[in-house]
Amino acid sequence: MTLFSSLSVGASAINVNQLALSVVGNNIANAGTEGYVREDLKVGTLDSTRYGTLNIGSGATATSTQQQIDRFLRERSREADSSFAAADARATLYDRVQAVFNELGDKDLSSAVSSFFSSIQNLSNRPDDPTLRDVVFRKGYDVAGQIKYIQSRLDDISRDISSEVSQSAEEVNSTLKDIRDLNRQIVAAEAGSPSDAGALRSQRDQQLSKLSNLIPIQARTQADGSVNVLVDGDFLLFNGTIQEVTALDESSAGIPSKVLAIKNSQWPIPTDQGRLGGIQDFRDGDLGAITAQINSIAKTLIYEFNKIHSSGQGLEKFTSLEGTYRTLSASATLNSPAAALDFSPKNGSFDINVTDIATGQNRIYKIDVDLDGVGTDDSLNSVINRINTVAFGGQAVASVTNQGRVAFNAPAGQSFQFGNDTSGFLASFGLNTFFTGDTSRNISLNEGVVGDFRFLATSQNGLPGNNQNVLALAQLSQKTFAGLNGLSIDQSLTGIVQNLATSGSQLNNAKAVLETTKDTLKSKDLAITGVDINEEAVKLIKFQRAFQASAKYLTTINDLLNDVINILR
Amino acid sequence: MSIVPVGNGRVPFAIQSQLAITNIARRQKELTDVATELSTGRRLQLPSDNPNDAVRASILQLAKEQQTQFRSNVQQGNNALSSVDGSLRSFSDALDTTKSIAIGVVDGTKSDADYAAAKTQVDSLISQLVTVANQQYLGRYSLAGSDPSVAPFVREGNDIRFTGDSAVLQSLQGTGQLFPATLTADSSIGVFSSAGYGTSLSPDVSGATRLSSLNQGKGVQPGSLLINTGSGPAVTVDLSNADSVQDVIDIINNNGALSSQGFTVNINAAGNGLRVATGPSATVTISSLGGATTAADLGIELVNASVPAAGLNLRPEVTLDTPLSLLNGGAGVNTSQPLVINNGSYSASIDLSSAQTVQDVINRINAANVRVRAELNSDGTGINVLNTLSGSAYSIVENSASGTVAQGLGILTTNLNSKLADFNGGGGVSLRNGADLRVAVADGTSYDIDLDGAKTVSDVKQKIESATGSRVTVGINPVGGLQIRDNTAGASSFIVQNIDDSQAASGLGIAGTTAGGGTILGSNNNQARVKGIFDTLLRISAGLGKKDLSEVSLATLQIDTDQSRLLTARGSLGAQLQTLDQLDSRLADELASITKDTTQLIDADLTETVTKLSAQQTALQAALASGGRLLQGSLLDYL
Repeated sequence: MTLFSSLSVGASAINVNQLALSVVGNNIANAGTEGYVREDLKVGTLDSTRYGTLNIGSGATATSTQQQIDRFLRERSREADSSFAAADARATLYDRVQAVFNELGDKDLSSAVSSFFSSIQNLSNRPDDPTLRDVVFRKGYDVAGQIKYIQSRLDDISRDISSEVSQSAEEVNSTLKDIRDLNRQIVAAEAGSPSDAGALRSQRDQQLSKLSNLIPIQARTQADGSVNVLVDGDFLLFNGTIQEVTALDESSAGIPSKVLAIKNSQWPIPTDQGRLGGIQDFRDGDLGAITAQINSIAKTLIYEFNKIHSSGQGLEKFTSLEGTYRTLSASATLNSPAAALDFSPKNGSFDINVTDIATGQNRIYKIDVDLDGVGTDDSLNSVINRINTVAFGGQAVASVTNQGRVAFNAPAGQSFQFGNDTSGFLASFGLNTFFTGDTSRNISLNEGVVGDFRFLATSQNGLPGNNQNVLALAQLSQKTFAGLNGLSIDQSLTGIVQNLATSGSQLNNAKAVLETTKDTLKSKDLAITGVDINEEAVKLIKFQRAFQASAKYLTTINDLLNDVINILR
Repeated sequence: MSIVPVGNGRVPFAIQSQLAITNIARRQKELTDVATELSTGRRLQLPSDNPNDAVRASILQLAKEQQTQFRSNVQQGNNALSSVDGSLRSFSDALDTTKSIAIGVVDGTKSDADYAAAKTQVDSLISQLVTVANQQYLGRYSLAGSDPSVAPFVREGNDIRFTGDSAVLQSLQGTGQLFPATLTADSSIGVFSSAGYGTSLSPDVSGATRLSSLNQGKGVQPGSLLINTGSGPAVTVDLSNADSVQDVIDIINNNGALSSQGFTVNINAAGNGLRVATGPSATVTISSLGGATTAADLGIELVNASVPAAGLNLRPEVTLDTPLSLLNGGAGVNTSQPLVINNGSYSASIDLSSAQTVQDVINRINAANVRVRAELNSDGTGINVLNTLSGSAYSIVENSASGTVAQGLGILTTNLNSKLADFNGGGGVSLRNGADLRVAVADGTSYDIDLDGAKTVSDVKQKIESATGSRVTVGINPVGGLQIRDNTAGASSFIVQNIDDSQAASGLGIAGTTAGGGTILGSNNNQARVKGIFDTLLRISAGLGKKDLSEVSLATLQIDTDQSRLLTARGSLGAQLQTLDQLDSRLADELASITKDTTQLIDADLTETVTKLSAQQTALQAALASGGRLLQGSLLDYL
C-alpha cells in the first residue's frame, strides 16, 4: 500500500460522494415533477489489494443509478386508474343525462305530460270550449317537444361520445408511437449498463398512464428495458411493432356511432376499463336503455292516444282527409311485415259516420277489418274497397295515395267522421289522429287534423257537449300497457326517475370505491417512488460529510507526501 | 368522501401535496354543494343525490299535479251545478205562483177580465222560465245536454220545444272515478213524454254482431277456450282476436285439431246464441283459461254436456246497425205499412218499407220533423221516440188496424206498460170501490169487473181476462188506445160500459157496443204529453184562455207532480253539491299533505343548510391551513 495508492482511494471516495450528491440533487430538483421516480445511487467497494497478510481496500465506486419503484404496484395502480377513469366517465355522463331530464324541476317531461293530461281533463269539463281545445293542442306540442328535446340531447351525448372515440383513436395511436420511441431510447441508453434510464422510464410511465386512462392495457416489461403493451391479450405494441386502433362505424340506439377497435382485426377494444371504455359502455348500455325507455313511452303515447282519438269526433266533420302513416304495400296483409306499418292493426272494425250536409242526417256504416287469421285476411286495398262499397255506394271516396297513405275525398254534399274503432286501423294509418311519428325522435302533432281545434276528437256521439272520448283520453296516462312492461305512462315516467336516481347513485358509489382504490394504490406507489425532501436532506448531509471526510483524507495523504518529500530535502 | 390511508413508511412530498390538493378540492366541492343548496332552495339537485327521496318526490309531484286537477274538476262541477240550483229555485217559485193563480180562478166566479189577467200572469211566468231554463254558465247552456252551444228551449207558437237531450257530462274526481257535473232538464224540469219509451226488441244474433254488444252490452271477455270433446286431446282456442260472432265461429271451425274431432260451432236454431256440435254425439267440456269468463260470456261454458247443445241466449244490444230482421227474436218487423206520429199540429205518416236497420228507422223518424226525438234507449234494449214539444199531446200509432210496424218497433205510445195515470190528459182512469165496468158478451153472459189496484194497461188486461176466463181479451188498438175482443159466439151484443158512477170503461176508451160480439176498437185516451213544468203551465195558460176550468184543474193537479220532481232533483243536486264540497275539502287536505311531504323531501331546510355552510367553511379553512403548514416545513429549514 503506497501513499499514492491511498490517494487513489481518496479520489474514488471524492468521486462517489460527488456522484451521490448529484443523484440527491436530481431527486430534489424533481421533487415536484409529476411522474418522477426517485433514483438511488448504488455504490460498491473496489477490490482490495494484498499486502503481506493484509487485504487493504482500494476505495469505493458507483455501480449504478436505479429507480426506486415497485413495478407490480405501479401496474396495479395503473389498472386502478383505468377502472376509475371508466367509472368517472360513466358517472359524469349520467349526471349529464340527469340534467337533460331535469326530473326534480317543474319543467321536466313528467310535468309536461301531467300538464297535458290535466289540460285534457279541463277540456272534458267543457268539451266544446275553443280556448281549452287550443290549450290541449299547445300542451300536446309541449309534450312532443319535450320528448324530442330529451331524445335529441341524448343523441347529442351519443354523438359526443362517438366524436371523442374518433379523436381518441388518434391519441391512442400517437401514445403508442411515443412509447415505442421511448422504448428504443431506453434500450439504447441502458445497453451494457446496469443503470436505469430514469428520465426516459419516467416519461414512458407517464405515457403508459395516459394510455391506460383511455383503454384497458397491460404493460409487460422486457429484459432489455422495453415494454410491450397488450389489450385483452392482443398486442398493441410488440417489440417495436404497433397495431393501430381505429374508430369503426356502427349504430347505437338508432344513431350512427363509433366503436374503438384494433385496425387490422377490427376486434373491439374491451370497454370494462379506461375512459373510452367507460363512455362507450355508457353509450351502448345506460344511454341505450334510457333511449329505449323514452322511445317506448313516446311510441305508446302516440299509438294509444291516436287509437282513442281516431275513434272520436270533433266539432267539425271531414270532407277530405289524408292519413299520416304509409304502407309499403297496399296489397299486403295489413299486419304482415310486407305492409311495413309502424303500428299494425288487428282484427276488428270501425265506423264511418256519413252526413248529408244539407239535411244534417247521419248514417253510420260499420267497416270490418278482417285479420282473424282465418281465410284471406284484409289488405289495405280490400279495406278501401269495403269502405267505398259499404259507406259510399261504390264511389271511390277512399283511395291509396302514391305514397301508400289512405286518402278520403267525400262526394259533394257529404261529410264524414269516424268512430268505434276496435281494429286500430284508423290509428295505424294516421286517420283522425292527434300525434304523428312513431318514435321519440319524430313525435309531433297531426297539424292536418288537430291544427284546427275543431277537429280535436272529444265526443263519441258526434255532439259537441259529449265528453266521452276526451274522458277516455284523460285517463290514458294511468292505463297500463304491455309495451311499457305492464306499466302506465305515468308509472313509466316515474320509472325513468327511479332508474336515473338509482343508476346514477350506484355509479357514483362505484366511482367513489374505485377512487379510493386508485388513491390508495397511488399513495402506496408514491410512498416508494416519491421524493422525500427530508430524506434527501439527510442524504445530502451524509454525502456532504463523506465528501468532506474524503477531502480531509486526501489532504492528510497529501501532507504525508509532503512530509516524505521534505525528508529528502 | 373517501379516505386515503397513508402508509407507515415514507411520506414523500408528492403524497403530502396530493393529500393537500385532494382534501382542499373535496372541501371546496362540498362547500359549493351547500352553497348551491342554499341558492336553489333545494336539497336534491339530481335524482342520484338521494334515489329514495327523489323517487318519492317524483311520485308525490305527480300525485300533486293530478290531485290539483281533480280538485279543479270538482270546483268547476260544483260551480256549474250551483248555477243550475239557482235556476231550479226560480221554477219552484213559478210553480207556487201559478198554482195560486189557478186555484184563484177555478171556483167559476171570475170574470173574463180575471181569466185574461190570470193568463197574462201565467204567460209572463212561462216567458221568464224559458229565459231561466236557457241560462248559461260560462257561455254554455246548462240544461242542454250534448250540445250546450244551442239554447235548448225554443218557443214554437203556443208550444215550447226542447232541442237538447238527457246526456250528463261526467267529470273526473279521482283516478277512474267520475261524478255527474250537469243535471238533465228531464230529471228536473221534465221535458219528455213518459210515453214513447220503447219496449224491448229482443234481437237475435248474427255473424256480424259485435262481441262487445253481447250480454246487454257487457260484451265478451277476451281470452282462450279449452275444449275437450272426449275424442282427442283438449284443444286451446285463442279468441282474443275475435271481434264478431262470425270471428268466433270461423276461428273455432278452422281449428285443425277441433275439426279432426268433428267439433263445430254455429248460431243456434233460436238465433239468439251459439250451438256446439260434434260429428257423433258426445259429451263436451268447454271452459275458459286463465280465470277469464270467455266461455260463459259466449254462453257455451259446458261441463260434460251432451252435444249438439244450444248455447245460452247472448242477449245482444240493439245497435244502430242491428238489422230489423233480427228484432223480436228473429221475427223481424213488418214495414209494409207506415206508422203515424201525431204531435199537436205536427203529423207524419212515416214509410219504413225500405228501412233495413234500426238506424234507418231512427233517421226517418227524426227526419219527419214532428218534434219527437228518436234514439236508442240507454239500456240498449229498444228505441225511444219521445215527445219534445211541451204544450201538445202526441201519439204513435199504426197507419191502419192491420199495421204492425210501430208495435214491431215497440214504439206504440199506448202499450201494455202504459200507465193509467197518464190517460185522459193526466187525469187518469177514475176507479171506485167495487166493480168498475161491466162486460156483456155475445153468448149473453155478463161480467162485472173490479179494476182496483190496476196501474197499467197490462193490469187492466190481466184483470179483465182473468174475470172473464179469457172469454174477453184486451189488446192494443193499432190506431190508438186499447181494443177489447169478445171471444164468445151468440146473438147478444158485446157491450162494455161503466158501472154506476165509475168512469173506468169510458176512461180507458173501451166503452161501446157491437152487435153479435167481435172487437170494440177503443178511442185513444192516452194522448201522451210531455211530463214537465212547461207543459203544465202551457196547459193552464191554454185552459185560462179558453176558460176551460176542467183543463185548468186537471193541469193544476200536475203542479204537485212537477214540484215533487223538482224537489227530488234539487234534493239530489243539494246532496251532490255537499258531496263535492266535502270532496273539495278532502282534496285540499290531501294536497296540503302532499305539498308538505314533497317539501320535506326536496326543499332545503335553510337553518340546516346555513349551519352546514358554516361547518364546511370552517373545514375548508382547516384544510387550507393544514395543507399550507404541511407543505412548508422540511429539514432544510433547520440546516
